[in-house]
Amino acid sequence: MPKMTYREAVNQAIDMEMARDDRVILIGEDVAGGAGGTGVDDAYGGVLGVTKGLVGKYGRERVIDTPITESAIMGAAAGAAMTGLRPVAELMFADFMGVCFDQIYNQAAKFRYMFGGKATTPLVVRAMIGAGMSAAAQHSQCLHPIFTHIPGLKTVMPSNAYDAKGLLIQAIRDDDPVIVLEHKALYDTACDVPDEAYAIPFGEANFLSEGDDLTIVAFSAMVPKSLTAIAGLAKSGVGIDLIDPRTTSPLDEEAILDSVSRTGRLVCVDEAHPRCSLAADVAALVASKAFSSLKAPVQMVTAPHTPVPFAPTLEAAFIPSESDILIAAKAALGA
Amino acid sequence: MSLLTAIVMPKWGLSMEEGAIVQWHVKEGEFVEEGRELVDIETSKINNVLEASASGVLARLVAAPGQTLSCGSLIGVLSDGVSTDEEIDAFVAAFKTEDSDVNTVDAAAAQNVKSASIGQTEIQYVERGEGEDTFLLIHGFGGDKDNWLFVQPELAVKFRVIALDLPGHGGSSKDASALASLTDFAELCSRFADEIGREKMHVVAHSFGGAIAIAFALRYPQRVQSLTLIAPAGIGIDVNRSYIDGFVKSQRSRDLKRILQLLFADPAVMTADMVESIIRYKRLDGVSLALQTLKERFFDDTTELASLPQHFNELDCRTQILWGEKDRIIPLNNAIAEGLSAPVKIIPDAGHMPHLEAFREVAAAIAEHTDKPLRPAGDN
Repeated sequence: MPKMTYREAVNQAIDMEMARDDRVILIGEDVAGGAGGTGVDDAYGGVLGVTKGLVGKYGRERVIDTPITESAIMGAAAGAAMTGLRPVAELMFADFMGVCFDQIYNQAAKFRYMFGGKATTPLVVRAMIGAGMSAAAQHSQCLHPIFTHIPGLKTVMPSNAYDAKGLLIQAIRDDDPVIVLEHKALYDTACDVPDEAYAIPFGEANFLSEGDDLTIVAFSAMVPKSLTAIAGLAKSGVGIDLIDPRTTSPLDEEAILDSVSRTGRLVCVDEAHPRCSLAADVAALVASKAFSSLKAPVQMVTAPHTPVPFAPTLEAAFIPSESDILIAAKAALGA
Repeated sequence: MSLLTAIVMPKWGLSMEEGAIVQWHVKEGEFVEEGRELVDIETSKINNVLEASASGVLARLVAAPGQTLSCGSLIGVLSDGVSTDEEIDAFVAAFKTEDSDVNTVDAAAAQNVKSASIGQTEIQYVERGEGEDTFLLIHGFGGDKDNWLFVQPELAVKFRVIALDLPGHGGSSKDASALASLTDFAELCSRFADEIGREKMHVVAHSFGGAIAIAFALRYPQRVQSLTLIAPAGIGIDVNRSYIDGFVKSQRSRDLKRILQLLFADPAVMTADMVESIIRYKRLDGVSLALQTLKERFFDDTTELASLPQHFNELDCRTQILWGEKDRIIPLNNAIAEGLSAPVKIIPDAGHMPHLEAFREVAAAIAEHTDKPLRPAGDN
């Protein structure tokens, strides 16, 4: 089985679905490589090269470079989805959601409901999230809690290349609006990914390790970070359920509750700010539905309630670290 | 002075690179007979137990539970007599792990994955070894060529061994719509044999693959030199239907894990990676449909499988049947059918997957069946 990077996996997912279904189109800023370029040869495919090569294969009718106007991109994509296309609309940085959020949460998310089922909106919005590249406060946020909050949207956060391909293929085949959040620091990570097409169902968590002493629920880039953080604990015999929910909406509540009912101890690791984070959401779920199983207070590891710093040392202090995760794990274990 | 022998981390199958010590079953200083179970080892593919390859005193336990070591690393020291601590220390210090060139093995393993086109269908297969005799290994329902991971290298020492993926499985085409009957499968095998340039082969087949092999041998008797059937379908009508249904239906790891445990006599043999790789296979486009189609054609409608047993004694080639004593998928009782003209060898402590659970015994039995045993008689 070949090793593939997260970036290549995303590219392949879009490529395979565009080949399979004529109605799938790609639209966004620089997804081809910019209108100022000379054509397919210098279509570097987006700011981090994720959509490279697609305009050459599918042409400019299906791979559409737009002006810098997120509200028009999302509005056009939402309308196109309702009238027969299956757009994959790129929101270059999730931080830009502010300028187009009405199109996403008030329009696309509500069409099926408000039109009494007469409209379907098979829209995919792909966006980059996350800190670690000194992209500063307006290009480094993890705003998944806000998307998760909206009924009518599905929110997906792949943590590795295998999940990225399978979840994005599932998203494109899904008839509802799906927000796919790709952490920019994960693009170069690689793992075994099949060349064939496959879809991973939403609402199904992945267990990176299994054990009965401690539950850790982590999202996106915090998943591989948690895995590294607990390596020493695991070696010394602590059994850990490391859960990657993969999708925040729908959330695999059953997996989380089942795990906590066995371990009684929970750590949530989320790069979002603490208020209304997924860490808080999962903690509340467990406190309300598995209270009698808990043997220790829930530990939440999140970024602080501040904008993302630009200075490298401050940014490093902002992002939850392996040692933060390990400290929380030990606290949950009562050590 | 006594003779000291190294006990090393074994290499089970070609892709194993390291193993973790789970639990020792013997104490330092204890005398062990050859074949005694020494230590439980966990690998990504399978959990298994290492047996003593010779008798002696377990002079030192070098690796501790929880430790992960690469294949070939020293995990213990066996002594044929009384050894001093200094002798053992010196032996341990001087031990050098044999440089198993992992990269070459992986590259070689990758190169050995080949593909044959048969009409619209692509069949992926792994070929190892050289020799006058060719073995064709056929997996069962929901399996793939990796089921032979441990048996194939054992046989490849003496023979040319080919393990294929049936349509709908592994890396082969996932479209199983053209395979409406066992005859279709038999024809596929014959065309595959043409593709690999072999007129005759020894066939080893497991479970549903066994029914295919019987159909192949009945239709093309001149192509099958010998037949080894491992817990085959098609010689009795009992099959664990809830396993088949459960396997096809399960989408989540935890549901599938419960189903898969039925395959083994000891569920601890199953690893998380094993379950994960099967879930990942099930997610591939076309697999659900292929499995559902095959289930409906051969297990929901039992006509085809029920029609095979009466023809069993018409088989021309030398046939043997191997069966795990604790098989919960296709019961051992099926083998004890009246008038079966083939010897049945029962593998103790194995379930439906003796080629994984007791691979050395199975490989030896397969080779013996050709009169070319893997190890000459009297050599242990």
